[in-house]
Amino acid sequence: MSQPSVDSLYKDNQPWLFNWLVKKLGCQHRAEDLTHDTFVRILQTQYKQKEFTIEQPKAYIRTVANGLVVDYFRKKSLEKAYQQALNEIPELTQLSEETLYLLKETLEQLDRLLERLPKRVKSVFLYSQLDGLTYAAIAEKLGISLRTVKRDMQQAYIHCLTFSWSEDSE
Amino acid sequence: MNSDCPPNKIITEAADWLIRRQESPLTKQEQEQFDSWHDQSKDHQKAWRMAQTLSRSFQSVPSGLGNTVLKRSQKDRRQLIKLLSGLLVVPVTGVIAFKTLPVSNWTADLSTATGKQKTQILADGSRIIMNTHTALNILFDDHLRQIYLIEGQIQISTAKDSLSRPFIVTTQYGQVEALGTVFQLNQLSDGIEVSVQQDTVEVTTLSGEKQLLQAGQKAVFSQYDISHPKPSHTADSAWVEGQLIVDDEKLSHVIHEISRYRHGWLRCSPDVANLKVSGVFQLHDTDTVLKNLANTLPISLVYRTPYWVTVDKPN
Repeated sequence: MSQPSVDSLYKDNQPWLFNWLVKKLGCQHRAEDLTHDTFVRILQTQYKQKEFTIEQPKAYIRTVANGLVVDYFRKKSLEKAYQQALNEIPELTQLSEETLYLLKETLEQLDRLLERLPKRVKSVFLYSQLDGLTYAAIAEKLGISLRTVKRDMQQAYIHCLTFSWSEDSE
Repeated sequence: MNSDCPPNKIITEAADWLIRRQESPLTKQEQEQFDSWHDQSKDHQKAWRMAQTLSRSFQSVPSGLGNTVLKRSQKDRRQLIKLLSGLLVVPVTGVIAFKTLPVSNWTADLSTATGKQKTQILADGSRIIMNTHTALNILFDDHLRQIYLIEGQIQISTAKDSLSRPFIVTTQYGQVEALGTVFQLNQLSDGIEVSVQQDTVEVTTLSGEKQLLQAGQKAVFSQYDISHPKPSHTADSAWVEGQLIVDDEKLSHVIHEISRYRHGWLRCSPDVANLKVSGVFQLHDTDTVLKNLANTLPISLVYRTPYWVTVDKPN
């Protein structure tokens, strides 16, 4: 294989990647963690795809790392909203630690799933799934046609099922 | 079926069943139809199992909590974008920020920023040219060469594959299979435009409609249908050379095209939208293009900031 080993890929690229991540994250420890995670992610991808070759290592590594940085900030903002909800909704504090933990895991998964949906599609979908509104009620609320609501629902369902298909390895 | 590759048709059918069941309880006859759909194959069962897991996940979340967390404000996202991007030195609105660095693109395998193009040679020797503001994922395995187009515009020249794997571009509306060719895909607001420069491609929409397109033809498809093939023009591929070629087009269309290559906000006032424009424009310097348009047409350019430009009637 003409492919550079992950070993040399790491040696050549770890220093700049670390500095780059420190600048983005403003924290050495986090930067260390994410540097590590970046190379683990690349190793996993390489393991899964036999034909996998990296054409432009630097650009590729930066893309992978960027994805992880975005994910990190998304989780952080989710955490903030989650804590806010705990403060604002007293009933939640009566739930057991375990239930809350599972709830947070579920929210994390759903959040990741919905991240790429267009804004309106996401609103339509959440009104239906979280608030249990009928399609007619959603159409009225957002001032769109019933047909549009159905199309948005279809797009959201297809997106979610396609996305979880590859994750479900059963 | 390869379990890594989601079967579009089955997933679309599962989505339709989810929607039908939400609209009203199934009649006895519908329930029978559903059962026989479900029992067709392992993949059908898997799709439905995932659909149920999805519904259960949502049901398990108390709506107050879900509303606070999943609908959390765009403001946080905007701060996130500012944090992540060294480019945004001027204060900008959310719309522009999203346009500059779309969130979804950060996790893509390959992407281009606004105003940039990139050429990439893939592992099999095929070539992808990516136009401005484009993002895609590459999934090659032992059976399939697959590109997932997230957004934007690409031209692909496929190479002959030693393993004879099919070459497929998947989009949110359906897929395009290359039969040894040069072709282009362009994501529009409500569909994908495909134009073929060499040989043939086969378009399959999510709903299963199929259409062959020959060299010199183009068509637009959405998840439900494919338009009649129309002749494609050399102007359609001009972007590959960094040019925009228009012949008797409305100014509003030309401004929209130019805005794809610019950061910020470029708007065309309805007063001048219908002026007709012909010409060849260089896309790498859109400020000069705008200046040239202003020199030849009865229009004026209003620069509120370098990132906020309105094309208006002469003042």
